[in-house]
Amino acid sequence: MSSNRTEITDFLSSAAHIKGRSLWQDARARFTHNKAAITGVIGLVLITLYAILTPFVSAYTLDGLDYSYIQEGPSLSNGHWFGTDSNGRDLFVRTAYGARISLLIGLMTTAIALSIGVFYGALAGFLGGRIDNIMMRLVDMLYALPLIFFIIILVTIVGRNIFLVFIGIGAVEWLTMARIVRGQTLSVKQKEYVEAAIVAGVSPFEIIRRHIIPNVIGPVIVFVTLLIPTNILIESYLSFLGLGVQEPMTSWGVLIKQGSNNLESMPWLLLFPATFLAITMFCFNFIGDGLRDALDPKDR
Amino acid sequence: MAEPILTAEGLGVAFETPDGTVRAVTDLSFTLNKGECLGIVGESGSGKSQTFLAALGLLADNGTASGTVTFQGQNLLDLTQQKLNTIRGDRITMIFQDALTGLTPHMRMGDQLGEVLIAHQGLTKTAAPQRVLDLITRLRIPDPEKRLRMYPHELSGGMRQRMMIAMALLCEPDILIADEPTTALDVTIQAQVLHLLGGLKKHTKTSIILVTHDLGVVAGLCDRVMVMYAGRMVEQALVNELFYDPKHPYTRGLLASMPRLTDDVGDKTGRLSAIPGQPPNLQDMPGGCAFAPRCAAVQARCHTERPPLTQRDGMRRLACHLEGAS
Amino acid sequence: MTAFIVRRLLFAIPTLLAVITLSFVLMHTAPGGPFDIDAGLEPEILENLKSAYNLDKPVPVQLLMYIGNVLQGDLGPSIIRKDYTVSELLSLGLPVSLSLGLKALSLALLLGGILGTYAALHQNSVADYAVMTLSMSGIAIPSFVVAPVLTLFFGVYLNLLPVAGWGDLRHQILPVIALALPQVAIIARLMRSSMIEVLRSNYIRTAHAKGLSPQRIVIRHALPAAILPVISYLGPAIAGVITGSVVIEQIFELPGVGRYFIQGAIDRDYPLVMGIVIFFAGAVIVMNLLVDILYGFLDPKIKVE
Repeated sequence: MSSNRTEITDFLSSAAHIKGRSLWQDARARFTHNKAAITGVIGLVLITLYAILTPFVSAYTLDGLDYSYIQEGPSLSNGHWFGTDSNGRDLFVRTAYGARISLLIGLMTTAIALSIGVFYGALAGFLGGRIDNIMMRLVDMLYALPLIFFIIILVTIVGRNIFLVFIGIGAVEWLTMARIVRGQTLSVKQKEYVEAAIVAGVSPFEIIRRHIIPNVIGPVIVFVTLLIPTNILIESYLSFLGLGVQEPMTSWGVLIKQGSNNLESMPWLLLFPATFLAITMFCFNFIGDGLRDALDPKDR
Repeated sequence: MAEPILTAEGLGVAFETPDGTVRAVTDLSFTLNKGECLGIVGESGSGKSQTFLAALGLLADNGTASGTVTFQGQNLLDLTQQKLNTIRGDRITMIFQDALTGLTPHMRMGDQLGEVLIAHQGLTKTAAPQRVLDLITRLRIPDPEKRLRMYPHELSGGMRQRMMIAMALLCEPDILIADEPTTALDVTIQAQVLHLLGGLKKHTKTSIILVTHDLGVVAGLCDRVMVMYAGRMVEQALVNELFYDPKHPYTRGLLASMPRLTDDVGDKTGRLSAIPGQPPNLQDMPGGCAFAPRCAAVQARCHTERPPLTQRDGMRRLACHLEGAS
Repeated sequence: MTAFIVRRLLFAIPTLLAVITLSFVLMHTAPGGPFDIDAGLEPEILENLKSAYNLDKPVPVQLLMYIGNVLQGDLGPSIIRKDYTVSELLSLGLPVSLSLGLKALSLALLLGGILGTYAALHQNSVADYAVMTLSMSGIAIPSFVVAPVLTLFFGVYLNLLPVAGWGDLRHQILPVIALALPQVAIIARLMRSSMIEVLRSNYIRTAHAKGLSPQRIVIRHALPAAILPVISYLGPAIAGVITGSVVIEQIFELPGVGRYFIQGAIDRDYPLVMGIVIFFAGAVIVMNLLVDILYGFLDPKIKVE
């Protein structure tokens, strides 16, 4: 009996020796070795700095008119690096303001979608059985719809207001999140340590917080990095249709709309905001792919 | 009688991985004779499967093979995929461990078998099904017409494996390579599959290579056995010699870990003995004998000096410093 | 299989009812109404107008009356375009939107499928990187940026194609391309990764061991399995095309349903908006059903159930 115990101890210590690096350390190593993902991080940091700092350091303002340079192309000498529009407004500053709004909307809407999706999915997965069935049926139902129509109805009929844009986008983009979290929750729930916690009488809320959330965090992080650009795109889409952000406030979508209206005479008006939008999309997608590879190596 | 049909010389298989090169097979030489059944035994990761995947050009993308594998005067490793396609599936066939994932899920069995005949014997789409049916009937698979209309997941595990074997026999190959054909099956179904292979050995001239970690399967079917450890051959002998007089400590360990009805090998408590430790990391091989860290009879030089594979009495080849160990 | 279809059809009914309820309540509980623009209307006339469209009744009653009418196939009159019923407006816009959407979708499937397969078969080659870059760009650059640029190039500079309006096939080329590109990108990516995964599977190794030609392995053994994720994506793809068509119709000034929708929403033309939502929700539901059936045909494991 005692010899058996030493064998077990030996086995465990040898197993511990083999294990070595933890899952998260491994993931971090894989992520930092991914050139595209690191490029994405650097790109995003630069764009964020540009968005935050430009209005403080630039000589121009969001709607300041410079009558001496109306409809001027990009130029380093006259100080309008990205050119001006037909009112003489400086595009470099306007693109930075647009970046603020677009990034903010991307983050806020994703935060809303995240909260709803995680709560809903974890609850469905945790409760299981009939309730889970009904809750997920509802998700299936909503999934089958072109949800952009609801956003459009919301922002046109209820009111054109930036907070409604937040809520509108956030309120329809939580479905996939809920599915992911519910799936993960179901699989975690069957693990022994969660069963042990249930038997030990730990409250459901505590089990969700202590056991389930830490385990679903990987796929959720990946999804979040891919949802932010999607939501930025949805906002641009709404603004392009004239339904999102309203003047004098601006966003990349608003600027792209103005640019595409004046494409022939002032191509720079489309070029700069569209390039920033595209680069941001690239960065988030690179990071998202990098995180997926890092957190879930078997999926490569 | 001993007329070689397949000869490997200095065969090596290496994989490039993000963590470095993994040498799955190193300097492996062996021959397979006509009509012979050769067993290849070893733990998983010993390189036994990769040896034959390499010979048929089936290595994963990051794998490369070196050395030669000669069949009908040609080095298989040098052939283009196109040339290989005239040999594999026709003259040399291979069956795999997991018939469920090894068969195409969305094709009916009849189509999967028939396409072999269409590819290698130039049969038409209309003529192939009849030939397939003939063979399946000969293999005594019950209700053959119905079975050929089924998809792989509709068949039982044993039936799938028999179908896979049938697929490998359609062109009456010179060599059949069976990679762990019974591992995934229940014991009774294992017996059916072994019976099928036994019948094949008895009634046809096909040479068989049986890759397995199950010594029981080897004992019942093979003429000669090759034992592999960490990518190298450590011992080779006729099946009786190997079972009654294993020389290499690893072979002895394998035999001792086999369950038997009359146990005289394991210790007196009747417990099965296991070989302590784990196979070495193929990226980071010890300098001497790869088995030294786990060997019960290890000597000082085993850690520094790798024992060469040498010819011993009779058919035996052995790579061990313990001369004439018994 | 039949039981499966019936079950899915039964599931579609509550889905549609939920859609109607949700959008109806959303619209009708919001402050304001379709007659806000005519600010100078006499209160009595306004009341008369409202009662003519049942807008004076409580929202639940309006909803029930509306559902009753829809069940009889009556989508009601348009409030703003007073000479037309919603069904008439739909029948004007649908041919344009459908022809645009179906062409874009077919193009996306064909081009995305071919590009993705080719990239997977030549993994890590120059062609693979080219396809992946194209695909990333297609996802990163929205169609409302691509469309004006295409117009400028092919319409204005090269003067090859009309930049707006609806007429012969030449009018459709640019809108279809602009609408299809994001979907081409997504489908190519999806196809590539699923093809790579399938090519690594055991049964492909078996097929190689059988000595089959590479063409046969790809077409007969790999493709039917690799295409399954693309088939599942068809539902979201339809939704994506519908979403895209709204903005594409705006840019190219096409008389499709999407433009009616935006205008209707801005004008608070409740029946028109409802009609379009019902139609598109129905289209997506039907497409999802077709996708499920198609999936069953391609994957024998589902067919048996």
